Amino acid sequence: MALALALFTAAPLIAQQTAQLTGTVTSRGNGSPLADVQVSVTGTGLGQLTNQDGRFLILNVPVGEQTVTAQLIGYGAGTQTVNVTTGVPVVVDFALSIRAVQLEGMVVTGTATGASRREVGNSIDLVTAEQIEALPVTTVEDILRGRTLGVTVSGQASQPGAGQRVLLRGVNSIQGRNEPLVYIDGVRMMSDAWEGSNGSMNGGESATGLAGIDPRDIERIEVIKGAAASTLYGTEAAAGVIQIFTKRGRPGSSRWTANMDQTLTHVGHVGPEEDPTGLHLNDCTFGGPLRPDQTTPDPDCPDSGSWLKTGHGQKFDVNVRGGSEDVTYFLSTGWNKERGNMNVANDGSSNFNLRGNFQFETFQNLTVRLNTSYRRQHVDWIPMGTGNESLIENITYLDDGATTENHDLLTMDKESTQTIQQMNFSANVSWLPVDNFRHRLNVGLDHSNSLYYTSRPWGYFDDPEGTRTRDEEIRRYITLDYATSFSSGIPGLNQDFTSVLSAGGQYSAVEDSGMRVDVNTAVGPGNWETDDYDNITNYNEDYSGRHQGGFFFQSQLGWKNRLFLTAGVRADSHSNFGPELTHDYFFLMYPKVQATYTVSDHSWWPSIWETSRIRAAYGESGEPPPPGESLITWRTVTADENTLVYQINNGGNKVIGPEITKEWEVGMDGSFFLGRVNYTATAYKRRTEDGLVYVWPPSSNGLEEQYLRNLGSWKAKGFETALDFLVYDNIDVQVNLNGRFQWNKTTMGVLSNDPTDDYYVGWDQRYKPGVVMPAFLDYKIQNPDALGELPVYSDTMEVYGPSYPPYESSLGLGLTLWNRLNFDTFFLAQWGHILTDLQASYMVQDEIGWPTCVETVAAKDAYDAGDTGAIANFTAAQIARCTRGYREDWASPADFVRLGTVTASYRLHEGLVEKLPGGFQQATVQLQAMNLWHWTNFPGFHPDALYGSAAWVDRAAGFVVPPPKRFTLNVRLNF
Amino acid sequence: MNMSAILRGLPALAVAAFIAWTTGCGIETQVTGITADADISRPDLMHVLAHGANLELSHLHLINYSHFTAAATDEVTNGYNSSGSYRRRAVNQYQQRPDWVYSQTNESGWVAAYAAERMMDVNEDNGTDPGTDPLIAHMRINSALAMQWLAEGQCVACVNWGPDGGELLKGSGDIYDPGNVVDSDSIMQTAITWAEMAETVAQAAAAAGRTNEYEPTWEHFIPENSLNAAYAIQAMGYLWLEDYAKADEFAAKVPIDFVWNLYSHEDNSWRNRWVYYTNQWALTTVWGSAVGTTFRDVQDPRIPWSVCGEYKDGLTVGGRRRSSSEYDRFLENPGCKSYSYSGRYRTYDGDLPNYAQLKYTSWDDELVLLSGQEMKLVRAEVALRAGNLGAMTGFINDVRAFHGLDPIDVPATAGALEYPNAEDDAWSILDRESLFTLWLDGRRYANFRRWQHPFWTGGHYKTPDEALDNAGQPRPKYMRADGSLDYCMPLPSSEECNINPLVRDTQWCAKLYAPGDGG
Repeated sequence: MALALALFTAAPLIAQQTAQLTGTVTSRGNGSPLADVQVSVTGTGLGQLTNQDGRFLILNVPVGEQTVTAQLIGYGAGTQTVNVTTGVPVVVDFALSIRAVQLEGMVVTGTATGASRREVGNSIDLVTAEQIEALPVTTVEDILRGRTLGVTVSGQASQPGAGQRVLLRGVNSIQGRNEPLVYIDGVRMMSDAWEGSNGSMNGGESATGLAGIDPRDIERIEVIKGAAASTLYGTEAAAGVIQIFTKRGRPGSSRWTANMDQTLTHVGHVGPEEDPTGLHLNDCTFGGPLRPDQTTPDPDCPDSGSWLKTGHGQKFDVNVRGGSEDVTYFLSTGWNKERGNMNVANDGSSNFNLRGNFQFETFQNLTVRLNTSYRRQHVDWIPMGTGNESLIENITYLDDGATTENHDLLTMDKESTQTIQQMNFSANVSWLPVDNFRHRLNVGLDHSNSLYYTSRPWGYFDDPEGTRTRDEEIRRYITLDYATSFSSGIPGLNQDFTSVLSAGGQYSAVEDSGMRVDVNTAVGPGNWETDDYDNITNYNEDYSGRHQGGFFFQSQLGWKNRLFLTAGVRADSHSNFGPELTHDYFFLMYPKVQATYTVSDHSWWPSIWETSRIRAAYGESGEPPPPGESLITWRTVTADENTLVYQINNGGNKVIGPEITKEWEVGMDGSFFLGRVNYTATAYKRRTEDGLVYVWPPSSNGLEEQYLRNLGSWKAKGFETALDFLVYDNIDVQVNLNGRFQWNKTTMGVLSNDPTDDYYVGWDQRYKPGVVMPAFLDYKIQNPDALGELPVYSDTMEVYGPSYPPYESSLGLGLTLWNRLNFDTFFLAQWGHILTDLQASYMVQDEIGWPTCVETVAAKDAYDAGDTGAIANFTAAQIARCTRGYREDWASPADFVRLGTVTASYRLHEGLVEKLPGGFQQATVQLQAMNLWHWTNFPGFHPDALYGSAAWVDRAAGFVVPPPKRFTLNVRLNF
Repeated sequence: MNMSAILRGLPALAVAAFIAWTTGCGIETQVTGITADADISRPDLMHVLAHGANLELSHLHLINYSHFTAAATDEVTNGYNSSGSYRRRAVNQYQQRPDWVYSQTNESGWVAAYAAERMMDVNEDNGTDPGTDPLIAHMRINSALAMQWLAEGQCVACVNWGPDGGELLKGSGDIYDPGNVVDSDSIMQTAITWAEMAETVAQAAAAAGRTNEYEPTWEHFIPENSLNAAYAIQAMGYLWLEDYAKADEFAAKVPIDFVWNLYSHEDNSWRNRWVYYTNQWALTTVWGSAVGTTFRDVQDPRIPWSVCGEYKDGLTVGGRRRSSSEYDRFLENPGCKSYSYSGRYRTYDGDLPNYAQLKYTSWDDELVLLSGQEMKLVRAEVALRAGNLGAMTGFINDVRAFHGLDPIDVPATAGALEYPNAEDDAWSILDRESLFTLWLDGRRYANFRRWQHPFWTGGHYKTPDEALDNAGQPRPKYMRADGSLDYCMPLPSSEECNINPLVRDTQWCAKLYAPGDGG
């Protein structure tokens, strides 16, 4: 790039029989200049990268007709044919379109250098900054939902500040982590749900580290799915890896971008349509079908007559990038605040973030990048979920709630706040001592802490003495990652053959520490401190520190840039392993093998099918046991006469090791019709062996507690495909259609040493040998459709179905007019799973009733009184739901289709923008909407309003506010 | 390779060395709230470790063994809602408490063995002779006791010596022979082996005059006490194996005032389970037992008890739940005033009148595990089996004299063990004296097995009422398929038969009993 810029600023040289080629590359639709676009003249070896203004200059282009191509990862390639005349500069501009399916470009693989996609045997999904800018999203989870293959985002957050659970290719472990590792700028970060923010605190919604990243700081996201792809990342990477790269500066003058967002959120009708009160959330002025005699408002019903309100959020951020050839910078800061949809005070979330990324190229062949970020998030949680203190339970339970005389606002006397701070620092050093020999070193620290504070003041209705809980957690991740690659030909063979040898070593340390104090009777008006230690009812300190280290070696052989064979091995050790597991060899080995072949490079390949690549990959990865399981530990007990006693606490497992996940995947990628149709398809098969499961020891072992053993096994298979179709394309109109489909089936194999065991995940979801995992499993009605019959249940538990959606599909439609006006719609569908409705189930069981059950309950009452014909018009399933109301009665398919996002953006005319004060170069206005419409066959509360979706594997609907419709106005200014 | 190439590779070498250092040299997971194994291998902590091993025995005996074996041997009556089935000797595969005993016995055995191995290492590291360490002798006693109780209770058992078949223990071979099912005689032989090891170390320690420097006067760390305990276990072992000469030989070595108590209890509720059951919950009652019926009017200091309530109609059996108005209350009697609930005149489930035992009334009262008195009874049995009724009576009178009681006359005949005990034959007298002497200590289950005690052959049903449950069905519900009854504890079903592949499909795990009927 330095060379390109030097040439660009130099006086033009016009040689004999040549001319210069200049131009600008922009993003089609929003008109933003695109940097780092590879512009090349076919067949000449000439090419340059665009600068941060999107401009390029290629000198000495031979005269005659030339084909010029512009390529950038995340965009469809642009090709133009120009006629070059001696000495006459030629201007060629490109407007590249974002493409949903990427076929080329460089991706990370864990080695020192990125790899071209044609060299990589596994599938990698990619989301770029330009795609993110066009989305009405607030979190990384929103970005990944439906737009990346193999990713399942469970549920949607309803309270501001909440995150969601992200799974890659389904459930991967029973006792270990199921969420992927997340690296930001090469350094591992805290990405999971914060502990403490669990259901008992706020209704099962949790803040996550991943949701805290400002999407506008992101340059691109790479999703590395499955063991076949994540082998080089070693133990802990079995559930996949998400690599996030933040934006960098580019040489040139400062370029500023400012965004302003104003968001309104609105929850529509809640619950069954038959209930005009929407479970009293929409309208609390009268009793509705559950309390037909109530004609007056609930005591605390807001003046608006509804417990719901229109939420409001706003976000302001600004960033600047620029620099010299030696030093570049990207600086950004942003602030946002959002209030939720419950009509109460003191709710919502605010977030402040700051980032500074610098790149130094002051030494030849040495690049140093320093990336720093800080964020602070504050959340005021509303007490949701189940239980006496839940606002939503007390509202929906009408006058049968727990609050005194139905004053539901009493629940808001409880204060639940969470403040999260996260600091991330990374240094990326790249050294290229010679052209084919590269060293790369990443060093970094991610430090975060969460302070969760809950207080019930004096006089609180559920605990008049008052309590206070202070729960502080600190997470620290340290990453040291070195890799080197050496590229060459193969001695003795011609230049068709290439070789890349890679090696490296990684070390990471993860520290979790926390302290929780519970105080009783110490909280009085205006008194937030206590020095009375007698009132401390619980004090808990936790600390665990674990270490992982390993090496890898990989060799890649290439032939004609067409066939690539890769073999590698990762040697890994982890401090959680049992000491005798690694006693002999110290390291565990994870092998990988990959092959790709670009068949379309053959001359005989039909030209209409311009690219086609087939690929296959096998790899292994691991998931370590939890800390302390390998240790023989003792506890102290004070015995008779104050005798100090050591008692064995944990027998330790000296050979405990990681779960080993082995995965095969095969796939194909290609394009038709001059790149108008891009496709990708991948099938995979995965098996986890040595799965960590809790087993009962035989009593003769003399231990009365379960312990972890590497006894389990489970397997998965799946299929993922995506298609991107540029339906129509001329200078003024472009229509794009893209779709994705994914299927996953994960099945439990061996669960424990007792073949009769099953493992209870929660809410009637279980792991059971031979059954999809997790499955909804319970006694099942045998006569669900029988009219006039009472429900008859099976004698044993039966499988209802998977509780995670095995099928997921999305459909996107984009329209660009005059390279200025964009429309984008995105549909998402999930189906094939079973969901239970906690809200309906608990309301029926607690005899509050359910709006669709009024007639059924009356009929059943008459039946119980002796009128056996009273239930003649009701099915056994209806009777079960409305009069028994167990979770299994409310378990049903929860298929849904949702209009996920709708976006309209308009780039103001440059002439108009230039007249605005402030020296703006570009202005774009976007109207964005989420969740405008959905269809579902789920009869209960809402198919995507999941209780505890960020923190818990088990899924159930209810007791959270349904995901609202979001409407956002975004104004983006470049100057 | 030139210097330039070396320099170019230096980063790789430096980073590789660093990673090798961090990953290869002692990286350890650190977790708070625990004490790591290596941290306690210190001379000054070995006596603490010994107390911990004792705690495992305490849990075994106080929580479980003495309680339900006392019910099985007619020393107390349980309310039907609190495992009254133990009284009916209906110990089956599905019951939790015998499972706990089975598991805890195994744990007591291997924890003590594991402690002894650590003590040997610490001795060697410290330059002292492990062969004279009184703590090691004590730990051997614990392992031997665990094996003795396992043998006395179980029909068959597996002994695994800890997790994963003795993985924690360094030794191999006969002493840690894990896994396969073995019969009670083999287990008892193992107990004798451990006791012999204890004897060897205790003798050497006594000869060397060695004591534990941190608790030199604590009774169980005194080598001479461990030596007596080793003799007592061997006496019991050989009696079980019907080697009466050796049983008598070892029993004779133990002085009558020798007592090996249980101790090191964790907190009040576990310090003495009889106190807990009597004073806090009244889960058990002397009512309906041999002491409360046959020997109701006997004044013997070995079996103190007190009437707290009676059925008004004077019935001596249960069979139906009584209302509170159907009880006479004697709450002023000793031992009747400290209950934590209002119904202290009857058992916690409201079924039976409460006769409170008064043998154990204080948290600090300690159960007797081995004693010189029991050794006298061993010798009495050996003499009886040899037909020497005079000698037998002499040993019994030694015990009685120890308690300040008048001697009894030599019975005319050996007779046959009758139940309720007859007054005039030697076997019935021995049974009675054993009951009085060993009352509530969990020591009579072995006698009952060896003697095929008539209480276990139906004689314990005082009236037809007791033989029937509340639904009028015969008790026990869970006879073996062939209608016979076991005289020992079976392998527990849920956590041994279902899990241990060595026994899962064997005859010992056949589902011979119908589940259900906890009371």
